[in-house]
Amino acid sequence: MNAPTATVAIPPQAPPTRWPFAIAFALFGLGLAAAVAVSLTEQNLNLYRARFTIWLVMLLVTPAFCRYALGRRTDAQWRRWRWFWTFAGLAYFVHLYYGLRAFHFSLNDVYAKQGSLTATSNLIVSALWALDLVQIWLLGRNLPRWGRVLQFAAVVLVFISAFTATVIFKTGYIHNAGLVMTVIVAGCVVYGLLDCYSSRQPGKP
Amino acid sequence: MRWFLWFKRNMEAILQALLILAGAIGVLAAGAIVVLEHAWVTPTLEPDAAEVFRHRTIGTEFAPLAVLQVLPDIFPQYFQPKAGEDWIDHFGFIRRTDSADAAANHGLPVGFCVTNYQPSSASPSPVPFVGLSCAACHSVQFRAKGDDAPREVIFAAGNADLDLIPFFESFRAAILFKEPNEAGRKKLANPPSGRPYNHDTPDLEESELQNVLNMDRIEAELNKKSVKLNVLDRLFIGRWLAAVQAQALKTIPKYDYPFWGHEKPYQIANGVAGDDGRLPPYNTVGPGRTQPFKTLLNSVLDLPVNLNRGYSKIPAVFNQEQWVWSQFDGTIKDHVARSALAAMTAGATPDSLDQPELAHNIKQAAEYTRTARCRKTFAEYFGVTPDAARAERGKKVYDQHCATCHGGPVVPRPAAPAPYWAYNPQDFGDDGRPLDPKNPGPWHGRLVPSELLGTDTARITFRYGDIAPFQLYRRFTYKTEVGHPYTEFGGYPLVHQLEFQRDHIRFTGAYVNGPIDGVFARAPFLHNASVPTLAQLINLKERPKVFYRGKNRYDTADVGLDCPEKPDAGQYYRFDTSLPGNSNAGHDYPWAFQGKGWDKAQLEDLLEYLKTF
Repeated sequence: MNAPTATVAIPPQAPPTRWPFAIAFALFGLGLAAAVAVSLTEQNLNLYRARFTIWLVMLLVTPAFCRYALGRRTDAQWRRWRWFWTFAGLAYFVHLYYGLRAFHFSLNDVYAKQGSLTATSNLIVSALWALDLVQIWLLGRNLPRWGRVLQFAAVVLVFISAFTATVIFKTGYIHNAGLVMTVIVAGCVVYGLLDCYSSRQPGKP
Repeated sequence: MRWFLWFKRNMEAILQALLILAGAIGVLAAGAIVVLEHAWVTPTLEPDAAEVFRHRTIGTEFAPLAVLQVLPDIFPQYFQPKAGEDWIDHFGFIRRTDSADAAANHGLPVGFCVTNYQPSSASPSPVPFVGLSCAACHSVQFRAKGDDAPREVIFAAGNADLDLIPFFESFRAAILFKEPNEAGRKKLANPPSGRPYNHDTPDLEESELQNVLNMDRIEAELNKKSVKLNVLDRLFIGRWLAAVQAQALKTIPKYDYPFWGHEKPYQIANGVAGDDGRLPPYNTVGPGRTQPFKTLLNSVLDLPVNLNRGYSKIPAVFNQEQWVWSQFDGTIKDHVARSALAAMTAGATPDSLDQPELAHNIKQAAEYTRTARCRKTFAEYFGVTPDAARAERGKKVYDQHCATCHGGPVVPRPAAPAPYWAYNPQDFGDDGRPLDPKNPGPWHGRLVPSELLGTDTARITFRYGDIAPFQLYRRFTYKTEVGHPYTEFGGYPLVHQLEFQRDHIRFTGAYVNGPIDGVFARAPFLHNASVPTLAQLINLKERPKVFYRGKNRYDTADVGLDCPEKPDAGQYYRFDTSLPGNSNAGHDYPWAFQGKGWDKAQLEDLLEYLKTF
């Protein structure tokens, strides 16, 4: 006799929507155009493009952090996270390009001026983010264990990097923006943890 | 209602499509800007150092070409106040004589270049801007006394006629000058309570004034020349104008109002102010001179630096390879850094100089000066051959009294680029340390204590001079906080392409010995241009206490500028050697005028020998 098989209730999936893509893409496109155009009038083209694109990264990555913290149980939630995470990554690579251009593409200069810790951590963050983008677009949602570990590391390191670069090392608007990002993400993490905890309580579905 | 129902049914899809369209337009716009930038500016790494020195930008762009072309029409009082004289003559720039060459450069003088770099940032621009090359200041064209024909341009010599500071003050006046707008004109025409306004001091509010230099006026003047601006031109020129006017207003506490344009007729009539900005009391610099450290410190320290009287003639920059420590005070060891700082006195910034093409141009210009020679001898340039016998006798005087500090010519003169001057600061300069009078020398490249030399000390003892080297060094390491645009970044750790070593810039408080090759082309003499001729410098003739500068002819007998004691049409600037920074005292070698040991015959021989350099 065959053993009885357990059936897993799959929640009904909403049909894919274009909203996450449309919003993230619009923010990315318009933000990028603004960053590229406005920096033309600033004192240092490369530096200001790097600066303005990091604002764009923060705008796009904050929803991605939140979605990650709140959980991505459904396809819709996962797609929402993926679009924001992807466009934030693209904006970050534009930032990285102009940052390196400001250093005349010399890694030696980057290390000389930023110090080993900052320069290496920036390179690791860039590599992890790039690898994660490759795997989520090639493998989709069902990542192997090492892929999930890589993704977790990428998200955590990007957050730590953004927090350190804005809240700790910078002053002015970018510092305040970093604080806002941190408060929002922290709120989402707390909410996500409470939600997770409460859903595991006896008697809860 | 059908369309509304259709819209309601498809609203979500429409909004999504609009968002995606907006994103696509943004991405395309960003891409288009990046592609266009490369079309606007194609960095050219010019391999010919002489070409770079003469004609290429060093990050000194200051105005759109279209604006510069109409400034003399809008502001004739500043740019061409005298009949028959345009701004090139008025400010002593050197006209390009080759018509094809001049046409290719939009009629601009030697040392003016047209690029698509924006001022200050060197970001790409669709609008051509006008900048300066090294040759704008470091080239000269003498006219001999009694012979008005302009001779060829000597590159790497200082332009003795150039009124650079009044030129930029004219530019600032044009930027800042305001006139009543429609409301202001109405108010002037209908004064309250029937009281006529004193037009010298009209009671107008800021809202009743407008900048004379505005886009409408610029376009109107350009239209007269059949030049039309397109949308991008208007956008960029308008943005530049707004930014430069705001910057000029903001920096008035630092620079004060321009030399003229704000004077009132009664002040001019009473001699309190002039109607020619090239003249005292405002212009204390005069032709052929600058105040390099005032300009640098204005920029680096963001202070007025009003007490600075460190005037410097625009120097010849021949043969820099034999200047281990360059500048009159031997403060910079790195020739590239010297060129970069010189460019900063003309408007370049560390940001603009970090652009690959501009950094390359600075390096090339420095390389040019390293081996630049005065290509003509005195005899070749003026057609006046020195007396060989007297020159031979003069050599002995020179060797005895001058060669210890200044070296001497290599005989026979080797072909370029071999140095034709025997000078060894590497061997005798002790890395630019002060000379010891008890040591017989040679003192090549050694610092001369001011009490020994006796020349004016304002150039070497100026206020903030001691902190200037560190502040300038910090500028090129992107770490300066004072007045730095990256203060909000907490200093930004970039690597500048022209970063130099800290120990290659210093404060000395003394003048440095140097070679005097091509000495005839270095007139007028001493660091502050206070001695017009070589005959006066060697004390063969008495140095004049007051003389007039301007477009002085060259005196081939006395080897230097023919400076009258009274003003005339060409010589307008009263050079008073009793004023701070202008002293013509000191450097009494071989002997003080008619002092102990003074020998007229020997000095005449020496002068003849100096003509052979």
